[in-house]
Amino acid sequence: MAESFPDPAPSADLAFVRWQPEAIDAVPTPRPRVNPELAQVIRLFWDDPPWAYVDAGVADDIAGQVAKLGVAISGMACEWSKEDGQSEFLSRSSAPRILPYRPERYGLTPDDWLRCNIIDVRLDRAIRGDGGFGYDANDLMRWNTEIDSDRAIALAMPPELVSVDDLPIKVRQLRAIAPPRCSVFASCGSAHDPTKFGDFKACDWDGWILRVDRDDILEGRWVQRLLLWRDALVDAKPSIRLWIVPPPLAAADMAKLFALGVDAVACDAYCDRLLWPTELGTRPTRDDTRQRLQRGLPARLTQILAWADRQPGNWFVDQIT
Amino acid sequence: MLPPDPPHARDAAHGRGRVDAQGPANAQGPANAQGPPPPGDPLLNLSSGRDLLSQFVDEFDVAQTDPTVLMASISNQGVDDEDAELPAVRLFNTGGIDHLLPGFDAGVKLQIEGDLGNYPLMMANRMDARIHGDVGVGLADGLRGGVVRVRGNAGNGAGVCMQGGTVAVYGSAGHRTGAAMRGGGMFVRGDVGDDCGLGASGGTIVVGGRVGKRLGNAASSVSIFVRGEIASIADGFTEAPLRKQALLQLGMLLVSAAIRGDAKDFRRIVSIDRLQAEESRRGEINPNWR
Repeated sequence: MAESFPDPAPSADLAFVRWQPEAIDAVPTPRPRVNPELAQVIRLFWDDPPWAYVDAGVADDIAGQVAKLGVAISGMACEWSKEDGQSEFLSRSSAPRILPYRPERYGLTPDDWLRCNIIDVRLDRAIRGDGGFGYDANDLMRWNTEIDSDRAIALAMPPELVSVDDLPIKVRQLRAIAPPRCSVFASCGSAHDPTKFGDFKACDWDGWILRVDRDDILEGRWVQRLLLWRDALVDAKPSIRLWIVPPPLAAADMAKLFALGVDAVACDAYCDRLLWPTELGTRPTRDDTRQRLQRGLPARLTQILAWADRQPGNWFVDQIT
Repeated sequence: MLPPDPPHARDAAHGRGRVDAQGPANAQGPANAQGPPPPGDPLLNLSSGRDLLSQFVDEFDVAQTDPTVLMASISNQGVDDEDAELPAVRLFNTGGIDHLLPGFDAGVKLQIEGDLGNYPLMMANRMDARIHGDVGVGLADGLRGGVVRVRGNAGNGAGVCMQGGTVAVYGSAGHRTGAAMRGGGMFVRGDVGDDCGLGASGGTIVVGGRVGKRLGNAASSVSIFVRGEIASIADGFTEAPLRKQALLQLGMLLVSAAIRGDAKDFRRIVSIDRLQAEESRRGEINPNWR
């Protein structure tokens, strides 16, 4: 019998979001989305998998296994391609894939943009494992950059753009080179002010990924930031998709994020542990990662989505102070 | 600038806006592609239809050709042998097109006549491209190899995120030239704007004219050579002596990029950390106490 998959955090962080068996007319429900069917396509995604923890073959395998659960996977071809340059995950056209487009383009190849469903233009400086701005040596090695970690500089914007007013140029470029049905998202930390990123309408982003998992300064007030961002984005483009990378949350709280108007939630806190080193400190093998996967992760993710699919009108959001 | 008219004799055989992606051999239409040749002089039927006096193996009207077809058609002309002479392809009537040939990877000489828009030859490799006109933002973004020469001016971010190869701009370039470079060589005969070399971690930038503010901003191991005035150098960067080895290296680079002038007229700008490391290495090789 499979073990239960532990929650990465105790429940009740989002106690102010409650579900009522009986619909309540006066509930402050999230703003209606113009394009709800688009939001249904992807509900869960793995935003920043630590691929460098495992060999490329293991990464390729586990990416395919998690994608089968309906989770969109973020990464680049170099992270999954074995020595022969092949990747089963990449060759599966049905697997939803997010291409992280970092300002410095480390690891990016032409293969990447030809085989992705979503491009995630990262408008924030990368943060290393030790908390500083930059990239970890293991990641740089996986990306074949031949740059030392202390020399790899993390930029906040594509460096050819002088200001945020130039962002539409970048969006047009990515739309031109990507497959026709590929979406172009932007992403940043929630500590930023939404007005900092120029004219949302001019950029015509398909979606925005808001990262609140690393904003320590917010001390749990990230939900207010989420709602601020949600309103700013929906005001600019009602059909825009809002994805969120939350701090570690219990499954019940993950589901509540959908009630706050989020279209997809990152399950990094659930999936990252698939790639962690073994108890002996070694890199996990394919068998290790598959065994971990079978310890209840599929059921846990299904549970999150089942809770999220409760009648939207029955969600009640208390006044947030 | 109006693009020059292509020679009329090539129009039919060499596909003004043709939709055949199989290269010139199949460009004559389906009649020759299948079945026996039509009756008549057999020698005539062997003709490829190509103008043998032309230096180009193919020519394309960019504005009239589907970008995917253009990419496939030119790629088909490429040679893999690094020592072989590259076949030349002419692109005309560019009309300021954006995103020309993204990810192009073939051993071909490209003569591009006319202005280009943003992000031409993004992440391209192996080609030897000459652009006769101005280009917009992001020239040769992420270039992996090969050569791109621009006989005109370039917009912001020329040579951004280059990994290898050579970009030479014979006019002037905008802000953030060579930003986030990590390999290759970036040459500008004229002036460049602010934040040249922003975040660059490798490669070489050579500027024949003046440079704007914050040269080398946040950059680490990039080597920068400047002949003209510098508005300001970023923190952590400094002017360094041009040693004999650097002079020789720069002289060769100037020749290869067709930039006139003497290497000793240039100043070398490097990070303070790198200069200190160089000096400590020199100390080990040639210690004063001997």
